[in-house]
Amino acid sequence: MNPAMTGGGGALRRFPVGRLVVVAGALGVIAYAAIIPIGYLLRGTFWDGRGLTLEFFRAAYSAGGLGSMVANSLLFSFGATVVAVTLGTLLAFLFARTDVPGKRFLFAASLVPLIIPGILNAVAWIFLASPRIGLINSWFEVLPGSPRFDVFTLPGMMLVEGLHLTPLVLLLMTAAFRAVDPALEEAAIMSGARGPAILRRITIPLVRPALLAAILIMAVGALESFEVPAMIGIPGGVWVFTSRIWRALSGFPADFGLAGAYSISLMGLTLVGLVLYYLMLRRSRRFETVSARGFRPHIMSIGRWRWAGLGFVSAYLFVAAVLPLLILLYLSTQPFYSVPTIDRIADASFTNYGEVLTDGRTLRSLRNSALLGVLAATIVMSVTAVAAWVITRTRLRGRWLIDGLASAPFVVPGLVMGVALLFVYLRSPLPVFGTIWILLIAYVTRYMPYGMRYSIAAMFQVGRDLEEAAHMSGATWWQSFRRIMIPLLVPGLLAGWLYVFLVSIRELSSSILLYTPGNEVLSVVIFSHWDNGEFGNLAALGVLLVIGLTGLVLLAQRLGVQFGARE
Amino acid sequence: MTFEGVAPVLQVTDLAKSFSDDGKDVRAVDSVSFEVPAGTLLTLLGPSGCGKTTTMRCIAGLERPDAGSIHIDGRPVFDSGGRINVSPQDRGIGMVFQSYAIWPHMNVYQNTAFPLEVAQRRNRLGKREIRQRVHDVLERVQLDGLARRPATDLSGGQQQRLALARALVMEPRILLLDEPLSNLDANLREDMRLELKQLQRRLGLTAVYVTHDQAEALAMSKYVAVMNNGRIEQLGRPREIYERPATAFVAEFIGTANFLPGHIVSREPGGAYLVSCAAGRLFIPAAADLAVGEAVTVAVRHEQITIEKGAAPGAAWTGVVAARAYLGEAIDHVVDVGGTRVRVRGNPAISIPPGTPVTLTIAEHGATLLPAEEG
Amino acid sequence: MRHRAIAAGLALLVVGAGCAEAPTARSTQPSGPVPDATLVVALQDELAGLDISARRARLVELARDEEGVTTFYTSMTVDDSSALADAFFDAYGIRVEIFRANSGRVLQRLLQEFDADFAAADVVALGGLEMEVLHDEGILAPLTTPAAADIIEGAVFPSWIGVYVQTFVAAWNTDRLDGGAVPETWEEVLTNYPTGLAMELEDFDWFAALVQDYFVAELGYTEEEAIDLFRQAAATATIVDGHTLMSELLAAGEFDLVASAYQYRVARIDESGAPVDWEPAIEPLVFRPNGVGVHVDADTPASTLLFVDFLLTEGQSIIADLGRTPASTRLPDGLPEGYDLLPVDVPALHADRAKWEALYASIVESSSGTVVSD
Repeated sequence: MNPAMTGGGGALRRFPVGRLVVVAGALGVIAYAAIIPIGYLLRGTFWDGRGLTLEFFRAAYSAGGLGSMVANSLLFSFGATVVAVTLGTLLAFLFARTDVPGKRFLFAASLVPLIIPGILNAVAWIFLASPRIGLINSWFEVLPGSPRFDVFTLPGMMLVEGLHLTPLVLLLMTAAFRAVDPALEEAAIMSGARGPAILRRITIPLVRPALLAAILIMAVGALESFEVPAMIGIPGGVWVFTSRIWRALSGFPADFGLAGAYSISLMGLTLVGLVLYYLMLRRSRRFETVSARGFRPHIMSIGRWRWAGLGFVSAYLFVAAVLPLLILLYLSTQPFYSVPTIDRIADASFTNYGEVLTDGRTLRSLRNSALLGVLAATIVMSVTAVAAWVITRTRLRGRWLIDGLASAPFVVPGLVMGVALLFVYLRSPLPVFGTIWILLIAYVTRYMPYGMRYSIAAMFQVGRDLEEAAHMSGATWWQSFRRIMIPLLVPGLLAGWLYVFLVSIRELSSSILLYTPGNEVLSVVIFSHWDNGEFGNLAALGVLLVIGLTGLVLLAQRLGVQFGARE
Repeated sequence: MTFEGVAPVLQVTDLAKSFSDDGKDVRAVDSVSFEVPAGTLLTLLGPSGCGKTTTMRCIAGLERPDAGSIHIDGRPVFDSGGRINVSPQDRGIGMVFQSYAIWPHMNVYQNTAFPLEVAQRRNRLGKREIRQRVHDVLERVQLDGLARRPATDLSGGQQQRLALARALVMEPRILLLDEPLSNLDANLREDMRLELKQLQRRLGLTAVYVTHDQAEALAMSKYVAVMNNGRIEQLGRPREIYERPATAFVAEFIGTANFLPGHIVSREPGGAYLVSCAAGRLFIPAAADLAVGEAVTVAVRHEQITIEKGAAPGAAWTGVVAARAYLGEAIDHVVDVGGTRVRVRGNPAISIPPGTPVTLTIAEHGATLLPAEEG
Repeated sequence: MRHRAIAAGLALLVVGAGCAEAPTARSTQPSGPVPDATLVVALQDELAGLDISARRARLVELARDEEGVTTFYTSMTVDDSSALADAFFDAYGIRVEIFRANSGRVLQRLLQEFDADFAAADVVALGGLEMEVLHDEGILAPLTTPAAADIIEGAVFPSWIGVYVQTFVAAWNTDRLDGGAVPETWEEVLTNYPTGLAMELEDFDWFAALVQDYFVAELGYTEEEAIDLFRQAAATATIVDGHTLMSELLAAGEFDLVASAYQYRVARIDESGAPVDWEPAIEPLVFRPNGVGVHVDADTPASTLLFVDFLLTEGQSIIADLGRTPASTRLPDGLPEGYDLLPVDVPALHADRAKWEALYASIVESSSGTVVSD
């Protein structure tokens, strides 16, 4: 590949031992984590114990209702993506590039839905927009002939999933808008272009790579999401891939082949998305350098539109954060659910909170979740930091494979990951089944792709010369990595750490299949409250969880600001 | 000030602009006034943070000044009193950015044609005319033949030319150039400097040029305004600025000089003074009205002093070479003159080892009198 | 380098997958209980012939040495199963860990663990049909205990014993359906409430019993006609995963009525003041035993058997206090009295399980309240 590296074992000989150990360790973790679930899935789907077979595919694709299931899946993913990308990009633009009032607070508040676990979001929306007991419908009931919102429909599912995915788009697109050199837009102004023309011809094309990435991530996220299809889709009769997989796994006998066939189809769709993404990206590849550096973005004065912007942001916040949290708050103070009235609100009690806070299982799950979140985030970020270093800083042949492997779990839905790990580790000599460590393996595997993106982005921010200066000062590879690279990478890695921590705490679809008694995590306890119809306890736990996580995020941001200021 | 009776295309009057930084108000531009006559190039020269770029961005309309007025062809485009603020698109100004701001998602042709394509409908040219104009301007900057090339495939010098072509294609009344050469390497920079100057002359462009490079300023401009702390310290022809710096800042910033503290010994006929400084006495012409005994600073440029071996008696300064440095096209000697260090730049053929006694001669009009430095 | 990476990947793949057969290759366990002398089998041999008090004394003695935790896999709601576990702890000082999920999910988990030779569960309590599957797979040890003496007829099997009875009822929200709107027959339940009806996702046993033993046997429908009735109801009904959830949502007013709630749950919610009722009942009432059994690989056999005996004796009154229907004939809180009752014929339905489960799944999974459908 590179003429300088063709000298036999030259590449390896130039790797000092310490570096070799660390790099090999990290790559080993990545390869192991990625290959297990995917290998299992392929084997289980195409191997029936005697030989290769396509029988499971035939079964999967001859089942009734298949056409509508595929159509529903694609429409659901498409709709949720449109909602999330449109809202998220608009919000990001308002926050990053305009003088809309109260930006700092509103930006932070807009990230709240990221903190609300998917299961709480789904529960909240059932109580908000169910056609019969939905709070929103009870408001509109007084108006004759008013519309009825029915969450148990495909559009309802799209909206609930889309609103929940919006903050991630907001984060991705804010970074993209901030990375655009303001001079590029000023040059357009000086060329005589006005607002809309600048947006259409300069700004949007420049953030196109980020926009494509956001679209891809949202589309895959929606395709693989479990909570909304299971809790809203099944009652509404809207079946998608993930709910089919869930059903295939809970019948008797559980149909792993069928689940596998659906999963592989889902992965196939994801891969099609990935290929489309790279094809479209290739056209924008050549100006990727644009986003390498941060700038003080050009803040546009949008005049009276500021208030329209503020209105839009407030409406988003009200619908995506305030309403769900309010209904949870209300639920948490009631013994059983009924449409809120003044009397019911006056009868509020904190009994549910008392129950939740004294329940041994809940407290144990809190400890487990916190421990797993911290460990998963730490492992993911350390391993991917080393891998990202190898990818961006060495000429090791086959380094593309590392990125590919680390990103591979991206296409494996959480449920499938759960089945695969359950299957493998029940039989593995490694005694992890029946402990919380199997959940740790699941989280590390699932969130490795996200950690990888954060780490590579962070690595690009640190100039190669800083590291070379350390080598010239006589530092060994490990010293320079630990004392120069890590501190400089900390702000970027910390952001990734926080993200992995949050999503690990929220994770449900693998956990539900992998937990054992005594090793429950918070999301599992919340799900079992739902199963048991204990809405009050569920909501109380949810409210406490959201408050706790919000506090943690604020604390981290404060720390992050200090980290940033030190540079 | 007015320049030789030619009507100014650009008039900037009492311009002021503050930024708040960490709650503190920083006066980035402080009552700046100047005019640029048609077909001339004026340079705003100064160190980073002196306000030159902010001044330029105010002219462009990218920043809104706090006070003052800006007129183009006698019509106000900004007037804090009359509450006029014409949008940048309507000022008829072309601009070349420091980073070039070449749009990476467009090719050379698309970059250049953009200003014509987004023109207001009533002024918009037909497709054919646009193609012709783009072709002409690309030819003028020697980029013809690269029209279909992706902009990001261009070299630094080519990108610079493309930025220029894009600014020129709409035939602006005024061209603003924000450190356009600072991203080029040294050799290319000198070539481009010359090219840019020729182009400006040939097209008769009225231009404002911002730079921190004094050589660039002196070589390119008809007029130079040296800025410091948001104010113009001195405005004049390059030669004037170089030879008769009005302040110590200008003298120090433009070229390299020795600053020697001294005082007036006597006033001589013909508007000159006899000044005594640490290194010795000398006659210096000056227009200012100074009293005998008043403290002053004497500025003597390094290349205005000649060095000879041996101690010659008389008015000349004598000393001993303390150090020397070979610079290729010149050689610097640091000479100890009665305890004061004087730097001398001369022909590299004359190299004198340290410890050798020498005589220094200051060229006629080689020294400038400046107000005494504070402290 | 690339070759090396690929080789390493393949090696890992082999390690990962090689330690197991293909997941879809169903292991062929011999039918019926495994005669292996596992701990719990051996212990039962030792205890054979002891009367209930001697047996208990011996078990208490042996359990003292086990110092383990007994793990209880069940579909009984967490609040009720932990009430039983707590009472057991108070009586014997032995801790019980609970794994609770829907019947189907618990069954699935047990099968997967057993396939992998991993025995986490000691005691299992699920619906009768699930217990039969476990029996066939050889996961349950043969169970004989004098504590079974008072259990109702037809609920004592070789490897599991009925512990409580689950009665299905149609229930409605009294705010949504007042007096005249309340259905009186199953036909009305299935036809008169196109949008207000909710059905459970996995109740194939209830479905099979009603179709075969009521619609076909008593009303003279053909099987196709009866199934069609359910299919049409499900086409517009809301499908809910879980009985408890279904009852709570009924109380909240999400549905007008539900087709197959658990009677004890509806009664309990009714008592708490929520607007639900199941009486006058839609007859016949389908009921099914839920059983308890012992995992063949239970690693704390004495504690395990002690807990099973406890569930079948003292536990019965706790179950009654919880408002459930105990399987003991000694207690007055038996099945709802004065109603036409229809038992699920567990062995017969078990033999025919594949058919009825698939049939019910096809009915509820074709439900679609949306514009997109085949």
